Formats: sequence, structure tokens, C-alpha cells
Amino acid sequence: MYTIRRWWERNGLRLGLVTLVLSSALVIRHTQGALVFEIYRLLTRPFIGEPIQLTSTENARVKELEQRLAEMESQNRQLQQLLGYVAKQPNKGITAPVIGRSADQWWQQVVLGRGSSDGIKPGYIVSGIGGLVGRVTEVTPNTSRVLLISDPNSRVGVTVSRSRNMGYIRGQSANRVIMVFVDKVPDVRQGDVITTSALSRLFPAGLPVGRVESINFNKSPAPEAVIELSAPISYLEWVMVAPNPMNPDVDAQENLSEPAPQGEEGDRSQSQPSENTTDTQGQVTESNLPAESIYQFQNRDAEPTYEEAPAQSAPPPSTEALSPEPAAPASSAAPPVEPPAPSAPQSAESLVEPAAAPEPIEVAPPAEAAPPSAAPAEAPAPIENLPPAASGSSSDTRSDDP
Amino acid sequence: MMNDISRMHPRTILSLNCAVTAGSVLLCLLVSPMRLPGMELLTVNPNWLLIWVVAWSVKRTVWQGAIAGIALGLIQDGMSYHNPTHAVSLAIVGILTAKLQKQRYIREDFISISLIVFGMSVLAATITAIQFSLQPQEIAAHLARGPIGEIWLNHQRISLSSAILSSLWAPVVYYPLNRWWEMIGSIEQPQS
Repeated sequence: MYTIRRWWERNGLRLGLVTLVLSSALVIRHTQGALVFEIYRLLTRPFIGEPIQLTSTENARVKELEQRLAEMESQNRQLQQLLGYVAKQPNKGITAPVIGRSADQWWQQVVLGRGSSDGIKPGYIVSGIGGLVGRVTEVTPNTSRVLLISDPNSRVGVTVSRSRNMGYIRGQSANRVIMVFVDKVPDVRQGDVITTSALSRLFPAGLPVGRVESINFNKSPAPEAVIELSAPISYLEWVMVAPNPMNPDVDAQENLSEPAPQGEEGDRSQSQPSENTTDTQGQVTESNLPAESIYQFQNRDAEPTYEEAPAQSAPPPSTEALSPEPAAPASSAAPPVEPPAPSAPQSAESLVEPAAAPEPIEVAPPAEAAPPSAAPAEAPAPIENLPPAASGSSSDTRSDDP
Repeated sequence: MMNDISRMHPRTILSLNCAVTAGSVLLCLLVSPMRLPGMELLTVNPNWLLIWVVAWSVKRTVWQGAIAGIALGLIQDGMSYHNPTHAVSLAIVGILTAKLQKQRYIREDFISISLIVFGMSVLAATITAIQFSLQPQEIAAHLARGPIGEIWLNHQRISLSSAILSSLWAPVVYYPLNRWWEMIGSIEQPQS
């Protein structure tokens, strides 16, 4: 007893200090450094300027508008084909100053000077002057942490705005990302505008990401391109934070469906080949339908490729036809390309009776939707050849991969 | 100033020492997300917490170094991302630095501290890269740092720039802290 007491007198203080240090370190860790970031924000507040600087970099602004225009034109062509398209509501964004960067060398993050008290939640989309910047991963009352798309852990489903070729980007360094294509032979050129694709669950479709800088077709297993990000990631000062319009409760879903809570930006486009039967895959494929296989639906009545088209698009509608009640919430969470309720029955019906497809769709799409095609309106033959070649190859690679 | 402090009660001195130490850690934490001119090389910033751990451990025991490394590593986990943890690399840095003190040919001046910090930064980056490479396959697919080759490409960039910057900034942390701890030590010495 005496020895224990002596030991305690000698080492008790030290033990107490060690416990205090370690427990406070654990607390800071579990609160994601909230205390530190709050103090940091308090200290840096006097140095934050006015958001007027947004206008000072006109070059980037012009670039963004160019890219948005290219995306809009391309999107517009598709929208004309789609009856019952619901326009996206304009998001009310929150302007937030960038007050810090990642506290560590391996992660590309920024710290924003606005937090949950301003309505920011994890999963919100952050865009800068030039385009997409990243996604909010952690929120404290007055700060929030953003994982940039240039982080090597970030994976965002993207599409080539001109040809609608799909792929995903993987961060590389400050201002460059690598785009990995889904197709073996993508239709992409230097200077093409890259935007987020409808396949992405974490980001709304159509946000400008960047431009193709160089392409490597020889890369295996899939061709890769180097994308120059249009947002000035390395010197961001002010950004816009907006809720994710396609998935308002993205954080709740993330925590349920993903193994690692915030770090991964694993977009569905790259993991698509492996898992085709799950419910989420059903909605992703469905959201993909209007973009890619619209041709197949329209050309089906007159076409010899009749068997091929249903075979490709069979899985999603069949799962929905079996279980209509989960299909409704699923499609409401999916990108708002189609109105949620009618989408499932529509696609199921059009599968059964392809001749019922409305005429305006039939006339319009092939003429404009197949960009490189020559004079498609008069000659039906090239139209028929094109869609299986373009979209057939993509779905072939997908089904081959697993 | 030293006289003022030496006249205080030992408890007060102890709590003052704790406050200064904790305050220096807090300063290092606050400066971590900051990117002032001269604090960035190839988008990499100096590893402030590693500098602090080296400054702490260089005249202390292995255990003290390890505990400091673990504590700061946990805090850094909270501030960036916890997988893989920073506690491992910082604890190893603390242990090795504490071991180094026994070797006579390391003298305690700025140059040698900078050299130690340089080596330890490279070591810490290597440990983190190994942690990334060792992640299980299914997590790696989700949390993909890309192919393993890419991790090590990143490692080259991060370790070199972080080592250069950290070793250059090391005296800023080490000098005042070392002065303070020497002063506290010289006050406590006669009593115990």
C-alpha cells in the first residue's frame, strides 16, 4: 500500500497529464477538429476580404460561361427529345470565403468560413468561379471542410459535353485531373469541355469541370485524358456552396450505403460493371436511359436491332416492373431528368409496345443527337447504324468488364 | 522575466509550463491550414506538427516522444482524415528523435534540428505512403488513391517538398520552445 502511494505521489501528476493530453486529443479527433477550426476562423476573420473579388478574374469567368454554353447547347438538344422534362430549380447558393487549406499533405481540402449555422450540410456542392470545386465533407458551426475534386480520392462521374462519352475523373495534382473513359474508343478531342455526368450521384449533372488537355488512347484498361480544371483550384478565394439538387439527403444516404463515411467520392459510374442488380444501380441505369439509349427506343420499331435494344436496357425496367413501389422513391432520388412518377411506367410501357413512342421524339432526336453524323434526317440507314455503334460499344464494354 | 517566474509557486510554474506547451501546439494546429507566402511548395505545406514533435522529443525520453506523437497524430486525424491515421508516423518520429539524443555527434543547434526534421519528414511521408499501399483491396477500390504507382509518385513530391519546407521552418518552432523549456528546467533543477 505504501509503495503504491509513493508511486502515485511520484507519478500521479505525470499520469494525469498524459491521460489529459491523450483524452483531449481523442476528443479533438472525434469532433473533427471543430474547436481548432472555429478558433482558426475567429483569428482569420479580420483578413477575409469582400466577395467583390469575384469579378476580378474575368478570364476564368468567360471560360466558365463558354463551357456552360457548350454544355447547355448539348443538353438542350437532348431536352427537346424528352417530353415531360422537369426544369431544375435554381439553387440558392451560399457564398463562402476560403479561409484555409488542408492540414495535411496527402489530402486536397479547403476550409470554408461558413458552416452549419449558415445552412451548409455535408454533401453540398461547392463551385468556384470556373466551375466545380468539390464537395462538403465536414461541417462545424462556422466552418466547413471541402474535399476538392483534385484530390486523388475524389472520383466524379463526368461526360464529354460534345459527344456524351462517359468516364470518371481522378484527382492528380493542383490543377489537373485524369479522366478515365468507360468506352474503349471514346469520341474526344483536345479542348473538349468536360462536365459532370448524369451518372454521378454526388454531383448534379452538367456542372462544368474543365477542358481536355491531352489524351492517351493507348492506356490500358481504358483510355485516359488529362483534364485542366477550369476553376482556379490553387488560388480559390470565394466559392459558392449549394445543396445537391438531385440528392438533397445525400449525407444520410452516403452514411448508409458507403463503407467509408466521407473520404471516398466513389461515383457509381466506375463501379457500375460489378454490381448491376442492386436498387441503386437500377436508378443509375434508368437515369442513364434518356441520355444514351434514347436512340434505341426510338429506332426500335423499324429496326433490325430490335432484339439488341431490349437486351441492353432490359435489366432496369424489369426490376422496376416487378416492384413498382420501391421504384418511385428510387427515381425521385435519382437525377431529375424525368418526372419521378411517370418515368417507371413509361419505360416499362415503351418496352412492351415500342410503336407507341411519340412522333416528335422520333423526328427530332437522330438529327441532332448524333453529333458527328452526316445528314441523318433524310437517310435513315446511317441513323440506324450509328446508335448501336456509339451506345452499343459503351454498353458492350460495360457488360464485358465484369 | 526568469526571476519573476522563479519566484512563483511550483504549481503555478507547472500550470504555466503546461499552458505554454499547449499553446504552442495550438499555434502549430492553427498554422497548419494556413498558406502564407513561403509556406507552400508544389501545393505542399510544412508539417508543423512533425516539427513540434521533433522539438519536443529531442531532449526527452522515448515514452514522452511516443505519447506526444500519438496525441498530435490523433488531432491531425480529426483535422484532415483519419484513414490512414497520422498517429503511427508521428509516434515513430517521436520515438526515433528521442533515441537520437543519446548519440553524441548530434549537437543541439539549428542545423542539426533542421537535419533531423528533414529526415523525419521523409520518414513520415514514407510511413503514410506504406499505410496507403497496405489498405485492404475493397477499401482501396472505394478510397482509391489510384494505382500503387501513383501513391509513390505522390510520395516523392510530398516527402521532398514537405521535408525542405519543414526543415527551413523548424527553427521558428524549435527556438522559442527550446528556450522556454530550458528556462523551466533550470528553475526546477535546484528544487528537485
